[in-house]
Amino acid sequence: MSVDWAEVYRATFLELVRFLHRKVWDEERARDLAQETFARALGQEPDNPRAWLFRVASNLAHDEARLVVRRKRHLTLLRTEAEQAEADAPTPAAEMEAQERTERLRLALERLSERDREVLLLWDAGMSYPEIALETGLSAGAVGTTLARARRRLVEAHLALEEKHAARG
Amino acid sequence: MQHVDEGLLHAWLDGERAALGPARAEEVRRHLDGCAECRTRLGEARDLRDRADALLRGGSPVGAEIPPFESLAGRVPARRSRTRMLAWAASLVLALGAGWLARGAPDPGEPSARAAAAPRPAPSPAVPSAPAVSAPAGTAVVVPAPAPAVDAATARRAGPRPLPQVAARGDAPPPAAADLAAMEATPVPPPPPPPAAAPPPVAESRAPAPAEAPAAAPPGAAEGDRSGQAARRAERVAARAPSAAGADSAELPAPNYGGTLALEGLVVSGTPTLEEVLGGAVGPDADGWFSVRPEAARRLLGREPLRVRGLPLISVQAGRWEGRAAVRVRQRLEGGGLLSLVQVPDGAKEGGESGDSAVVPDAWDEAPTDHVRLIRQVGAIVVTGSAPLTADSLAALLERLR
Repeated sequence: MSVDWAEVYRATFLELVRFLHRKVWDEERARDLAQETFARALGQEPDNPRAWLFRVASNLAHDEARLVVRRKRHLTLLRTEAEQAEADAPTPAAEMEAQERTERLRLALERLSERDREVLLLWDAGMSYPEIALETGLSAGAVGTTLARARRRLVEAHLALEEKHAARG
Repeated sequence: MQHVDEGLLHAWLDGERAALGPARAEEVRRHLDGCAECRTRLGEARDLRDRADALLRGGSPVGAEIPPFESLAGRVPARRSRTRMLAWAASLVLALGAGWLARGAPDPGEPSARAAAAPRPAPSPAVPSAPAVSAPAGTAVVVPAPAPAVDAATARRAGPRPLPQVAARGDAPPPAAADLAAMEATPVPPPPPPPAAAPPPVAESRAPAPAEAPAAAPPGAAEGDRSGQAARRAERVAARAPSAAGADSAELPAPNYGGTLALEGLVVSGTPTLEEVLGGAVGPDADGWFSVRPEAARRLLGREPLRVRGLPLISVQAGRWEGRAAVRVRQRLEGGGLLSLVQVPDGAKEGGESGDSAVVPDAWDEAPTDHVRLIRQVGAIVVTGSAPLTADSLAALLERLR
């Protein structure tokens, strides 16, 4: 049976964006990569479309991270973001708070091992244990253990960052 | 059973009982019913999970907007927006420009020609006459041309003195063959010592057809004209991009041959079939092409394989492209980029439309993933490029090949 990509797109796009956002930390870029992922999917007939999408997205994000040279596009994005921010700006304080929250999450995730982080993000993106096992090569039984460890480390790392922030602030 | 381990608790919480299997799930349920300690741990695990989920959600807000699915239709997956290395792009433009300019330069005829001219300064009146095809200086044009061409380095070194093509006409390879002669030598031998005196330029010394175009103008005849400027520009290009400019000289990397060819050393009349060409070749590579000697590619095409002057050659290959025997010339772009020219024999039915194509004649996977990959059809030639710069920039460069 052929894959109904339009349906998968509607059901999965935002999850994919969120998943990618935790990897590239730029919503526009995450959206771009999510679209890129789906563009690559068209014409493909994977057995598990969701798993296929997340695998491709993960690879794209990984490639993205390897880029050393900053892109001009990013500068464009920043400019666009600035313009957008003027248009529908939340209060400066709220915006700053959101940015700090995002930054702390980014730093906390960085303190996880790559595997722990991947399992955590795949789970959060809505993938099941068997799907995560398939993607990461873990046994299904090990997914729970890995996820438990990843959650604990994330919470602990985040707590430490908050304390550091409070002490400084 | 023993206490439920943390992984199982999380799986239980996450509703992954199916992953546990019914027997195991039932075991866990019974244990939790009877074990207060594990129920406490289950509560702790729930707190941990909820906090982690909250952190993930709260720290990574993304808008709820979903672009229309139809918007994907206009998106070519390979075109990923990447902007980098403008200097690199500029150097490629220059290299391509040098390639064009070099087309109008005198043919080296034989390796000694380079050496003969090398000691001379190469001032502005290095005046290869402009080719009949008109194009703005600095524009790369890759079209089937009867005229052989020389690399930018040769143009730079040639100086005002025309090359001793009379010597090349008899027992040396014809000018058209001389172009790829450097590729066939592995490793490239040093050029023989320069002759004591190169023959003066006389009309009779011009190479016969198909080497008619690169006729040399008398020294100093066109000082300051466009060709003179072109030659100067080629010289600057060569100076700026030595790796590219030296492509045909001693810096040429060893060509990548897959094996010997059945045709090698045979005198064959007419155009050989692909099967004949491939008779002794080893291959194919990952994307179905066989590395062949330039001579085999030449016979298959019935003409000189086209390439961009000034870019290092990686391989000359034969294979099938859209059901036709074809030759693929691969060249290295600076920054690790790759340029491929897929060409079919003249007169073969043209296939496909201009512009982007969904068919990929190249092993895209070989290209670094941060490279933009594009494909263009230029006449009967399919040009593909992968390079670390924006799709737009690469498109512009490929566009110039038209």
